[in-house]
This record gives sequence, structure tokens and C-alpha cells, in this order.
Amino acid sequence: MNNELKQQVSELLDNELASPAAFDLLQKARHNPEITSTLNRYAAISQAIKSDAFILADNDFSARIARQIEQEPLYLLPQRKQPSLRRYQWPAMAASLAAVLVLAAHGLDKINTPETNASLQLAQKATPEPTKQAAANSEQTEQPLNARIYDYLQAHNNSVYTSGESDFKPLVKVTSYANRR
Amino acid sequence: MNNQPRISEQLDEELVARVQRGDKKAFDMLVIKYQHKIIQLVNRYIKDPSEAQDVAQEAFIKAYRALDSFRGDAAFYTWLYRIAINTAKNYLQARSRRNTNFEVDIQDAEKVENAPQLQDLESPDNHLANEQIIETIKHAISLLPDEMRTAIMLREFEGLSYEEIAEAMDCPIGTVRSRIFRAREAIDEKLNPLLTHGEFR
Repeated sequence: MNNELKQQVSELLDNELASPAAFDLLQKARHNPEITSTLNRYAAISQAIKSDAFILADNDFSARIARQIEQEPLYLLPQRKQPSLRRYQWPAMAASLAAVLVLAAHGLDKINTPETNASLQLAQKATPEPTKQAAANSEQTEQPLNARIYDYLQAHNNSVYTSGESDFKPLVKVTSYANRR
Repeated sequence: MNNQPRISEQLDEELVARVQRGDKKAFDMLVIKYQHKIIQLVNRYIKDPSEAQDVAQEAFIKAYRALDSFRGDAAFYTWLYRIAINTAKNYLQARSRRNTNFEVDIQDAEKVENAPQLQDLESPDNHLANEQIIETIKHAISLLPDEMRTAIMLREFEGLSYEEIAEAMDCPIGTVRSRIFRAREAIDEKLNPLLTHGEFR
């Protein structure tokens, strides 16, 4: 038995051997009593260091159990099925489609209400034209401080700023701004 | 950080699933993996080594027969551990019924983990051989180079993982693997003459 295999045995004892390598080693151990015997001796040494008691398993211990298990009936449990995602594929797609349709219909209804249209028009009127903004920028040094803040807020915020108008409708965010110009 | 139990549990889950599908060889692998632990556990209750091995064997057979009811709610070893303890206690109960003068009963067995000497039924020969082996192991450890002795002590006494030992000793994890293995090998080498020609068992 080579040292590589013995080192694997040592790692298996410490639960430090990765699953595939541990599986391979245990498979080899079934046919190679030397591996089992090394594992048992290392385990007994480990136990002796910890507890001052040296307890060594018989070399044929696992073979005795294997012979007895051979006489036992075979397990043939039904294989546990992984929950199949395909089963839920079509209902999930149908539900998603229905949800999209409902949301779309609901959204269209809201957008087309006369109130919303009026609000949007008002918001558009209140939003400054880009050209106005550019002109304001060029004259900004001559404007008073309040006017510059007003322009800045309009350029950097999606809100609509008004000078006291109060008949805005929902769906348009309104921020009142006291224009002293 | 310490993923040792998870590595072991993954392998156990795979092996148990195979047994439940009718693969008896997978159960042999579980026996090889856990035989020393179960024998050591049973030996805490039943000091006679040959009786302890018989009871451990019975525990494994019971586990195989009950494996269809194992659903993985607990780790396989925890489940096997309970079966082994119950088998040992039942054995002691049956033995005390057979011999009413038997000094040790099941209540004593409950305390056995805190008082290992309680059921010390070892023969004097076995006791002597055990002492000789323990002395040999201690002597072998004292002869180990410092780094190997430190690695094996951190593993066995402190229960540190290889990764933690590597951090503590400031060396690569591969070096820890090798040091622990070489320490065990050196101790085993000193022990071998005793096990082959000595009076142990």
C-alpha cells in the first residue's frame, strides 16, 4: 500500500477527504483489507492519544457484517423523484401571461382617463422647453439667486414646479415653488 | 470555515441513498467508514473488547434493517450513534437479567461516559497490553519532530481542522495533511511490533 493511499486514509479519518475521493477510497477498501486495517490502526492511535484507551477493530469486522447483510432482504424502495419543474411549466406560463394582460389593460384604462390626459397636458406646459433652459443658462449670471435655484431644480429633478397652481391631478408629482420673480 | 462535517454528511447521504435503492455494497462502505467509531462508542459501555465488537456488529445490522425508515432528518452518524447506544444498553439489560448478581446495571451504564472505569471488566492481560501500547504511543510522539508533533496534537487534542492548523502553524494546508499523516505513520511503525507479536487481544 503506497503512501498516497495511506495519506488519504489519514484524511478520511479526519473528515478532510473530499466526497468523490472518499467514495473511491471506501470502494477500494472493500476489496483491500490493508486499507481497512490502516484506517482502524490510525483510528485506534487517534483514540489512544485522546483517551488513553487503545481499541482496535478486528480486521474482519466489516467483512463479517457484509456476510450477514448478504442474507438480509434487499432494499428496493421506490426511487425518490426530484420535483419536476416541467409539470409546472405551462400553468406558470399561463399565469404569467394572464397577469401581464391584466396589468396592461389596467394601465391603459388609467392612461386614457380624461383626468390623466389633462394632468399630463398641464405637466407638459409647466415643464420648461430645452431652449428656454439654454437661454436661462446663458443669462444666469444676471439673474437673481432665486431664479437660478429654480432653474437648477427644474433641470435636475423630474418634478414639475408651479407657482401656486393647485388643480393638479394624481399621477403628476407636484412641488410647489414660490416664485418671487 | 470548518466544512468537515458537511463533506462527511454529503458522502453519507449518497451512500444511504444507494443502500435504499438496493445497493448492499454501499452499506459495506458505511461500515468501513464508521466501524472504529461505533466500536469505540460501544466499548465505553461494554469493556470486554470481543463483546463490544459483537454488540457493535448487532448495531450495524439493526441500522441496515431500519434504513428504510431513515429519512435524513438527522445526520446518518447521529442516527447510527443512537442505535449503537440503545443496542449496548439493551445488551447490558439482558445480561443483568441473565445474571442477577451482575454488578453493573443499566443505570450505571448511563453514567459510563463520565466514569469510564465503572465497567472496567478488562482482563489483567488486556489491561497490561493496553498500558504498554499507550506508553509506546506517548514515547513515539515524544520522538516526533516539533512540527509533526504540533500538527498531530492540534488535530487530536484541540480538534482543529486542517485549515485551522495551517493558519495556526502558518504553513500551507498540504503541509498539514502531510505532517499529520507522517506523524500517524511514525507512531504506527513503533506500534506495529506490539500489535503483531505482542499480547494485545
